[in-house]
Amino acid sequence: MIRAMIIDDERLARQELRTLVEKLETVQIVAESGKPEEALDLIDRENPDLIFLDIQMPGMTGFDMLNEIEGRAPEVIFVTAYDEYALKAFEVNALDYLMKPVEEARLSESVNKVAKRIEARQEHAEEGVENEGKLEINDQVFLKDGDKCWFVELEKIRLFESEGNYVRVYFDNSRPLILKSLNALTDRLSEKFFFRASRKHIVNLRWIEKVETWFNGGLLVILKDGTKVEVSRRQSVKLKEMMAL
Amino acid sequence: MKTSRYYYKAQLGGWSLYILISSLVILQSGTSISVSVIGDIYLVFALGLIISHLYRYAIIRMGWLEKDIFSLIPRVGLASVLLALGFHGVYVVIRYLAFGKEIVYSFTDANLITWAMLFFIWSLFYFTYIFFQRFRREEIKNLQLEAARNEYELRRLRDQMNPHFIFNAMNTIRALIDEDPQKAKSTVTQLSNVLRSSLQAGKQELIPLSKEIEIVKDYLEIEKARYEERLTVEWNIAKGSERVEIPPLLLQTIVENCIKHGIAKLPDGGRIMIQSTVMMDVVEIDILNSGQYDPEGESDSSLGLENTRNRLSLSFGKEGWLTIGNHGKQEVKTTVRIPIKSSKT
Repeated sequence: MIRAMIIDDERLARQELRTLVEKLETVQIVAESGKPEEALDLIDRENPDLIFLDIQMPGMTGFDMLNEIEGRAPEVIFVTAYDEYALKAFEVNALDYLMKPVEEARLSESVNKVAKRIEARQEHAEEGVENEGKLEINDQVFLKDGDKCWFVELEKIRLFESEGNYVRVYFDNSRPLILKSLNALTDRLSEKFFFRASRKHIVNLRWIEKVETWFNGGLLVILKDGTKVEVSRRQSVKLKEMMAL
Repeated sequence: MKTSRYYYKAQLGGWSLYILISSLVILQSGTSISVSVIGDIYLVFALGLIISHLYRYAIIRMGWLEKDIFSLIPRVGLASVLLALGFHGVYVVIRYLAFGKEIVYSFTDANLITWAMLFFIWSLFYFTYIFFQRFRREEIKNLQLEAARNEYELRRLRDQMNPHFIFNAMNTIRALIDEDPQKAKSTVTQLSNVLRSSLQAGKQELIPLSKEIEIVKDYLEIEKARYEERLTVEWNIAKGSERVEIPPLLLQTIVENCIKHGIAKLPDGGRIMIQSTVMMDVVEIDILNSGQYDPEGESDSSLGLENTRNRLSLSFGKEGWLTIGNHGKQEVKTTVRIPIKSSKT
């Protein structure tokens, strides 16, 4: 059963969608909300697998709301009346949207696609200890830089690099700048997969190709795409310990 | 750039052709091939190229390219004669220097006529190409203009239909069919009225305010079904003002903006109040809505405002105008002034 949530500022629009979704036997609506701020709390509490999200809402657009999600980003199906421009801003990866009024066949098609993605992710998911709500390698996050948005699975992210108050995120061919601190990210990312190399960098351990010794007992990490990242002396000791295991 | 490449090709090709033909003529006439005959041919070729190229330079510098055909004919005729005289002069001098031929310069020389004819034909080709090109360029420009006009017209129509509103209304109606079938029915009728009026808007120049109010009421009923408790509407229309004539969809456009930039942006919604007052010979319509007006806000709204202002001044001249501004901290006030006697200029 997919645990889903509906976010739309219009009560009738929510009700209409609920009626349609409840006909599908694979989805259960666990919550609905008409206010973005309230919705954020509900997402935190209910941790839904999927949200149906309206783009144009008062106070905050659907994109801005996603950007505020602290934990892992759920799967999202956008539901919109006529926002071709808003949707164009989106990098097409994993983007799914429905047009109001929603067609039943299109809805079940979208939901099936999402169900497959969720299933694949669960199969893929690492066996083992729960990481106290930290982000795992198969979780996806939502990134927003100006008008552009992405959903990215953490395993694709090679490197986080701090730039002033921002962090640059390296994945595929994109490198958006997001308003977050590297410290906040370190707290949220699972240590099993991400390593704080220095004050400036967090690297994805799975992307490390080679480790070389560097001056002063430090280390130099070379990623699979050729990027070189210096590891501070203190962190080098830690990395050596980890590698020794 | 492309033009000048064509020019050089035509220049070389044309003169080569001329030389080829004149060589054939010489051969036919049975003249024996000697160094001086071949030299002569090359000399004509080289001189033709150089002098016609200088001629082109002069044409461009003197602005003949912009002249029409009737002022060109006498100029080209004169130029051909002068060029032929010059050509012949140089030809005779070089022949003397190179081959030791005697200098004979006579105005009755048959060669002079040939040269003049040559330059005349050269000009004919040159200006034909120029005119043809100018014609094509004009045609492309016209097509581009037409395409731009069509696109503008399409956009105007689409904006007038307000697709965002239509699809949201449809969605509301779908939900109402289950919840409140009676209301669903009346909303369909209201939506039909609004759509009909926007389709007919282009047909009339002015309609009575009372008629416009009916449409705006229908429109606001639909938005109320959608926003529910987040939208309240108040009307306060002064007696006697309903008869005043306004451009169709004028009030509608303003109220749509009140929803789009005001109510839709407020999490708790707000109020729209429409009131009219009759003064001496004018009617003032005030539209108040919750929200804040930002003059540097979205460009589409200021474009819409500009459009409405234009329509007012087209219909009423200086007597019809619109103002918009903040009214207190939480309201925007739009005022439209319409003269009672539609004093069309």
